[in-house]
Amino acid sequence: MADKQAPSKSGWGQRIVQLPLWARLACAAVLTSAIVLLSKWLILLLLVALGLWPIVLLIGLVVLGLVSSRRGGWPWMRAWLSARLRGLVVPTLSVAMALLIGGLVIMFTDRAVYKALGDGLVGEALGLAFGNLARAYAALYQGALGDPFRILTALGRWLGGEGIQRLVGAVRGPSDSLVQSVPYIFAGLAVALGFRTGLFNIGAEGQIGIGWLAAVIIGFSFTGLPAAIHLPLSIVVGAIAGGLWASIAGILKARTGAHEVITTIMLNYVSFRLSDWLLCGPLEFTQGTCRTRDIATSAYLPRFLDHPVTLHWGFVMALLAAVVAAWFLFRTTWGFELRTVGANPDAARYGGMSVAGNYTLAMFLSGCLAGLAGVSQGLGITHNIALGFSAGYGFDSIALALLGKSHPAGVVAASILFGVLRAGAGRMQSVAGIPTEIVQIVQSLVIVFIAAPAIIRAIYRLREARREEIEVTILSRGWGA
Amino acid sequence: MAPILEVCNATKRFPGVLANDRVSFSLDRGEILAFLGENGAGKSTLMNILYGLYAPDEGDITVRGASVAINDPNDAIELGIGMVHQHFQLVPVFTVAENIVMGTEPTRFSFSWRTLGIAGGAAAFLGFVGSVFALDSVGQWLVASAAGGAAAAGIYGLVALLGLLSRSGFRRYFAISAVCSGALFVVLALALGDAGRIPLLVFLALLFAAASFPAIRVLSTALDRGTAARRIRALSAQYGLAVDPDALIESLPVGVQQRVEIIKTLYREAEILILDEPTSVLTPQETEELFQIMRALADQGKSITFISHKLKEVMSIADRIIVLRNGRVAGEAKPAETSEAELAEMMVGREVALAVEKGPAAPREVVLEVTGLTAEDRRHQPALRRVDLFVRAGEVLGVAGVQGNGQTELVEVLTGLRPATSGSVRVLGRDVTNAPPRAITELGVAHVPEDRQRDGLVLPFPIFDNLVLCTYYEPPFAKGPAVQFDQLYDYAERLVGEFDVRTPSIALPAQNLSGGNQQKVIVAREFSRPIKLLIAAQPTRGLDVGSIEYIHRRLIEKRDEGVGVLLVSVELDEIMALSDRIAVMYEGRIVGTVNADNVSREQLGLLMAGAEPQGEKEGMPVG
Repeated sequence: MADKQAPSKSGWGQRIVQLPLWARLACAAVLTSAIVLLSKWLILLLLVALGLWPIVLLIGLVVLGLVSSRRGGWPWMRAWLSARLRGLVVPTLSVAMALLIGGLVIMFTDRAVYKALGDGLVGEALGLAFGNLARAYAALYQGALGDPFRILTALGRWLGGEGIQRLVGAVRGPSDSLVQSVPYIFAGLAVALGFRTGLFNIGAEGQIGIGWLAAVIIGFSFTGLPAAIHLPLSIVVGAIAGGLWASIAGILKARTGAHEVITTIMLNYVSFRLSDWLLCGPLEFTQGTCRTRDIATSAYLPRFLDHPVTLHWGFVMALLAAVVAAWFLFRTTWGFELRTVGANPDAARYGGMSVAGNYTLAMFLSGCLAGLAGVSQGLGITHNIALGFSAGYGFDSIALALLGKSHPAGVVAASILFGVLRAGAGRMQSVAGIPTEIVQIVQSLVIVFIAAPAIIRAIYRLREARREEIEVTILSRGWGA
Repeated sequence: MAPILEVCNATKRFPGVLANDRVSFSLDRGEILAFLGENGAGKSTLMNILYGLYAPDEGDITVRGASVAINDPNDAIELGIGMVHQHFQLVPVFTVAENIVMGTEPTRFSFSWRTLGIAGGAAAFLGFVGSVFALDSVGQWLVASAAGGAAAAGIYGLVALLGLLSRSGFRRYFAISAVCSGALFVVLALALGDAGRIPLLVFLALLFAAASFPAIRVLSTALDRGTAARRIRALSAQYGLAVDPDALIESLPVGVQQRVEIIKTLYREAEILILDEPTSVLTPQETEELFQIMRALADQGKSITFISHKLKEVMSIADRIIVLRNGRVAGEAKPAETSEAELAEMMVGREVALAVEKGPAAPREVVLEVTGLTAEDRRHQPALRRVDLFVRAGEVLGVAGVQGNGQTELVEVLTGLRPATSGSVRVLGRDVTNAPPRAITELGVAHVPEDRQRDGLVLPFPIFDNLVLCTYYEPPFAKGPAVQFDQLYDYAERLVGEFDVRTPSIALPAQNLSGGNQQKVIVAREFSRPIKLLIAAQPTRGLDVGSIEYIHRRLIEKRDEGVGVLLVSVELDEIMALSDRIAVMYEGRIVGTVNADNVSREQLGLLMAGAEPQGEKEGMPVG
């Protein structure tokens, strides 16, 4: 469902499209290499911007205000904002509500608070409760987005001529969030692509494992290959392995009608036990470790900056995957077929599309994306695969696809949100002593509110949005009654 | 006698549309009032206003002489207004009785021993749970919960007696019960000499007040179930609505499901029944039964308004007819004093040709040839038994028959959507038996499917996507895998204009179009390709007079262009008006093929009922 206004071509776009092929390729090459060369600085800029998001937001508003004063003042700005932000209202309020309720849980799950209440010391109890809340959420924020004052100071010192190390250290929080969001983006896209085709791929967790395993095997099996061959080879093999694994469910569905919810859940267990056996058996590095050897450095996904910033090229891959997925789904006839099959298989058959073929294709592509989530973890973070690698990214990704309304852009946004929460959770536990499970409560509440937007609308007295129900009907078809 | 319902100058605007423009009407007790109008004339909007689903922008509604505001369906139900929606609101896996009781949880808290008992019990339970937090010994817990239960029951009873909870609002319930139980807990804590815990107890009281609301509603519904079946039986007997209260909804035919919906409204003591296109889902027999029921209801004093766009039905059942056009009242009539043609003119706003003008056919070569075709239906029962037929370019072959005699399967086999078990299908001389749908489409076969929402459209997709459902992969709409949106939009704009699809934008999802316009989208798509054979199944089902006229004209245009047309319809009038030859199907066979010019309705009716054709077969060769 591409909206009608979208393909308005700017003058530049038009001019580039009219160039001959070689010139266009050259343009692309120049642009790509420029981005690659500047990647370190671009990423640093991104991380600083994330850490200083209030300032960025302010600048954005000021720029928007300047533009709007030229284009038609406040009404224009209001229309511009409401057109772009309307879809964000419910998710934003959901996150706010979830944090609020999570906050209540943090406040009132402390024994000391109840003791004070029981002794009739209301003031003291409330003080304790709010103290808990403040410490917990402060730690969550710093773990996820860094300390803005520290970033500002470091930025000032760096601009004043000091080394970059302090600044890199200060943006560790934003980097951690983005690192966490990488597998989320891939896996979320995988589930979203399935949803769009009317498939409920619950097997992302297993496909992640298979992709991870395959990429790592390629990674340590070859030594002495140049990185330019070794890295892409590992990535591609990992993706295809995930895709083939998922295709089992796809083919079963296409051929026999076996419901993908059942088959993908079962394939999850098969992949867990298969990797258990491989990791503690044939592929074990040294006795008792239950993990593989480390991959050759030529298969490492390179990092942008030095320690402690671990953000790697998997992040750019994930963003690219989102762009490609969006293009594929909404701008190609293949995507049109997938979406038609997802929205109405009978009409797809009527229109001459192969429903079974599209199920298989969608499952393969979905598996490839999930496999890439594993690849990015294996080649970017752990550089091996160990027993118990499953960190729940695959299961969370179902929620992400729902949260992002099965749209690649939405999935990326939701993934970054979940990455932020996940990155913050660790620090919240270590600094404030609040268990990481609180973050899971918050994540679950976000899903609850997104899945039942009527709650949020009732609380905030929002008017009914009709469009959203359309999306929900597409998603719910996945349960294929 | 004063009318039971009066609507004065009701106006409703939607973005870009004036759905109702100062509509006024009145409804008497025991009257059947029909609203007639084209799709999109504002009938449903008006009914939804009456049922509280939409708020009118202007206008007054008077029920039993008192001016009322209907803000939601609960208000409507309290006023004795019940609605049967076009798409039933039933849960398939629940029984009839469960479906009827559902949603009738007490919406007002009047004084009754039952409510009192439930409230007391709920409070006692919650008080027990609360005292576990607050107090120290088991003995104290029990005393607290018993005292709490008794006192809460007393307070609830008092509140109910005073009528403070006559409305269902959660907020009011919450406020009252929070104050009550909060006070109770505080008194309790003071009595037990534990004043220090008052803050905690107040907090708990708030929680309990919130939690007990759904508990009370659910519990009292559960108690209601026993009496429900008895009342349902009584209602069925009173109005002649035969329904088994213990049957599962999914096991019932559509006509009976509709009866359940009607009983549901009666169960809620509706005096005014709103039926939204009640006949659109029914077979002719079921329609007849429905009309008997409506008559019985009206005779016993119920007032009925119903929506329809079928002239015949309105003429046969309504006491009075109001015609809506473009959101306004276009006229009012009594069936005895008007004619179908007059009503049609009021509906459409111009004279409507109820009969189709067509010249004689000029048939040429055979484009579709079916020999010995057999196929099975969804349940693997034989649906087609050696069907032979042919269609020539430039003629319309009508396939008549009572619904469910194999027509659906015939069309599906011809278009590649259902496998044939034996026999052959040849299109333009090529064997396409069991060929994939696309191969058949690409030969120049167009298909207007029987179920336009299931097969013909992808409802959530915009109109422009639906217009290329069969050709999206071909130039100019695609270049390689890339969709060419510019061409696609231009094409869609052109077709929407050419086929008069009423829509604000080509980007509107197909589901937001009215039925007639949805069908126009399909017709636009199928007629705008270079085609040799057109297979149209029930092309005008559920459409209004104007759209029917339009589609009929287009069909004949295609015939005159030299396209072979296979028209499948259960509407005998349609078949007779459009066809050059008529094949009658009965139990999966073609029982006779006759010339349309010299056959009567009675002869066709006999064939459709399975009678052997009498003597002449009009010299039509078979196969």
